[in-house]
Amino acid sequence: MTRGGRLLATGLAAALVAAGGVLPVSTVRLTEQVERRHPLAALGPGRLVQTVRSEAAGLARIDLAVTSRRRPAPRTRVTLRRAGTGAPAASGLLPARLPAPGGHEYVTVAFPALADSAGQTYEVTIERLDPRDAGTVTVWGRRAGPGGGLASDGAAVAGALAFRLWHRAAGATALRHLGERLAARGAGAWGWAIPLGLLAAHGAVLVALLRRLARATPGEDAA
Amino acid sequence: MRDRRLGLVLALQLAHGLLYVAVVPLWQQPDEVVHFEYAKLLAERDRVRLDLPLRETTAYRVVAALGAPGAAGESATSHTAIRAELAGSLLRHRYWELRPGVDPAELFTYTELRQPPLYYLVAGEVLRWARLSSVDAEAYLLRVLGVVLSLAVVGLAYGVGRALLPGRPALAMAPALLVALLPQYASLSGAVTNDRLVEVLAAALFVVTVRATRAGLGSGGAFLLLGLVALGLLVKSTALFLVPALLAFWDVRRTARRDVSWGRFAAWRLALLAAGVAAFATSPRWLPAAADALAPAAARLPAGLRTAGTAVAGQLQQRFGDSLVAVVTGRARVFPPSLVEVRRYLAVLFSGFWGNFGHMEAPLAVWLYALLALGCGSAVVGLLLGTRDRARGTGGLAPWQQTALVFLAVSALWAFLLTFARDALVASYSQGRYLFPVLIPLAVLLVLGLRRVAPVTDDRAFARALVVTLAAVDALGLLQAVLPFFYGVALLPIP
Repeated sequence: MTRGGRLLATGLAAALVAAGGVLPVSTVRLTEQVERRHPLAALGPGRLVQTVRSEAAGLARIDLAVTSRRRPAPRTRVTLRRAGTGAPAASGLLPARLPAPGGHEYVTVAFPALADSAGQTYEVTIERLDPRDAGTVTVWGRRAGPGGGLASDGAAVAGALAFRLWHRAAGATALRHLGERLAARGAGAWGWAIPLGLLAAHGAVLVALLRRLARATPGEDAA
Repeated sequence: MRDRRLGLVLALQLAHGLLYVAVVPLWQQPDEVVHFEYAKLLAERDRVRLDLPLRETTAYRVVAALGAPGAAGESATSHTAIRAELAGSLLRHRYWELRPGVDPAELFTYTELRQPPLYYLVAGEVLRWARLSSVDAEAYLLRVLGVVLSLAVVGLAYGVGRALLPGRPALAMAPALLVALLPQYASLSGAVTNDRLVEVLAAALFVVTVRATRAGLGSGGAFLLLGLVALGLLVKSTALFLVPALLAFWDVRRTARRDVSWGRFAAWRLALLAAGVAAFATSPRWLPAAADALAPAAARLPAGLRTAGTAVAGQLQQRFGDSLVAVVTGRARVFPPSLVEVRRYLAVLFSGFWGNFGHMEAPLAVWLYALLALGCGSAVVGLLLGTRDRARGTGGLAPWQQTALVFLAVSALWAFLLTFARDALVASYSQGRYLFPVLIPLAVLLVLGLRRVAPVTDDRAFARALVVTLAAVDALGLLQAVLPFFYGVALLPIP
């Protein structure tokens, strides 16, 4: 590679790293209720509401455990409303192809990031838009326990929906969260440095390999 | 120069494997906990009390044969206590958060304790040597053992490439690069499982056979091949394909020496295969009567032969027993599969080969699979064009190279048939990783097919393009699938 080429590559890499640190392209999952083994409700004509609290700004996606045996599933809307005022903050339709019951997969509803979501409490409303097919969409979560923030047509219900809240974050913030979570997996306070170090080693070997491959070997043919 | 390149490829696999060891949470690789349980039992064989109703399993038999019951005294532990310790570790590592569908009460319902013991004996010895204080540390140690075994596979893949393409070092290196950069293989190389040892033995068999197609096979080589097959059968029943592969090697070499066309070779073998499939499918009708008729003759066989026959029958029973039962009871439905079934089968197979991490719960982006399918399709086209070139006399391969390639292709076919025959009978879905014992033949065929159609002028440029493409796929898998699924952090937009 020429000197100009090397400079260009270095500059590009530095720009990418800088952009990763500044631009909010990353997402981080901060709040979740992961217990989703129990079918909580088959959606009828009413509304099911789960109260959630957003820990950070940039709320951009919510995952829910929703299943249906129907293909396509009845149209179902998820709306985020600010608690207290009831003002809609975001809304989206569940996909027409929902997972079959028993798989415990999440369904994603993404929306433009809410810049002012830090510390806000939202009511996640799930409602079936199609008047037919009652009972064919099921939501899953934790069945027991008071204070889960679940309500059906205004009446509190024991348990809580399974949900995960994702937030837009700068690359540097996402890396910090990754480091913290890797360290918490039993690898010690500096555990996050292990995969990052390996990643760097991986990259260095790749570069060395590509450079070696660029050189001709004695007796190597070109065909 | 050659060693430097090999060193770099091995360094790449080492870094790649250890990366996944660190990033995939403990127990999140397929069946990792039950593989570890077997190794742990053998490691504790001097002091473990076998207190569960599993007397008929291989693990219990081996522990009973090797251990020293009664010598343990107060330091004795029990199998139940080991399972409780493992359940505690699973809880610490968020197992049920990530896999809520697994009922804790049924955690050990599926067991690997019936597997042949060779890998677990090795792993058990490693654990005894290391004397670590926690099951977490021991499991990580066995993950690293897996990475070490995968280094042997990558090194042997390099050996196959060098033996097959001696005049083209950059292209010869490409199969090893493909193995080292395959995301699913990198992820699984850091798993506690007996699969890596089968792959090492199969890879060694491929090196010996490919070299033998050019330089011939002496009696030492023949014994080595037989030894590799025997060892493979002591590791896992998936190694069963090595038996027909070895027969195919003899068959392919004999055909090459007689200068019969490969088209005629393929036609006869396919006809034999069809007859074999028909015999298998109708076996419940004739097998019991045949067994009764042959029983007196079998009784007169020498004891050694009877023991060997029983061992092979045991392997067949382990691999196909439920399939045969399904045929007999009428549960098996081979044809016609619905379009949805075929599509799902191919999706599970394909994603499980390239990258679908953990317990097949963290897939790559759909567009990435589409791109990889395009690459595989291009490789098939390239192989067909290469076959046409050879028919026209314009192909660049020597006859011994063609022989070696036919053998590698036949081996891959046998592995596929034996792995997926059961699926066809009981309508189950196998994962692409089950084809990793023939990863080297598949990598060679993919590389040669892609090289034939790649719009690049030289092998070095092709190898570089392969490295860049696979590294990009791997990075996307890590950033878009692995990290978001296990840690809730996505550095790139996730699909």
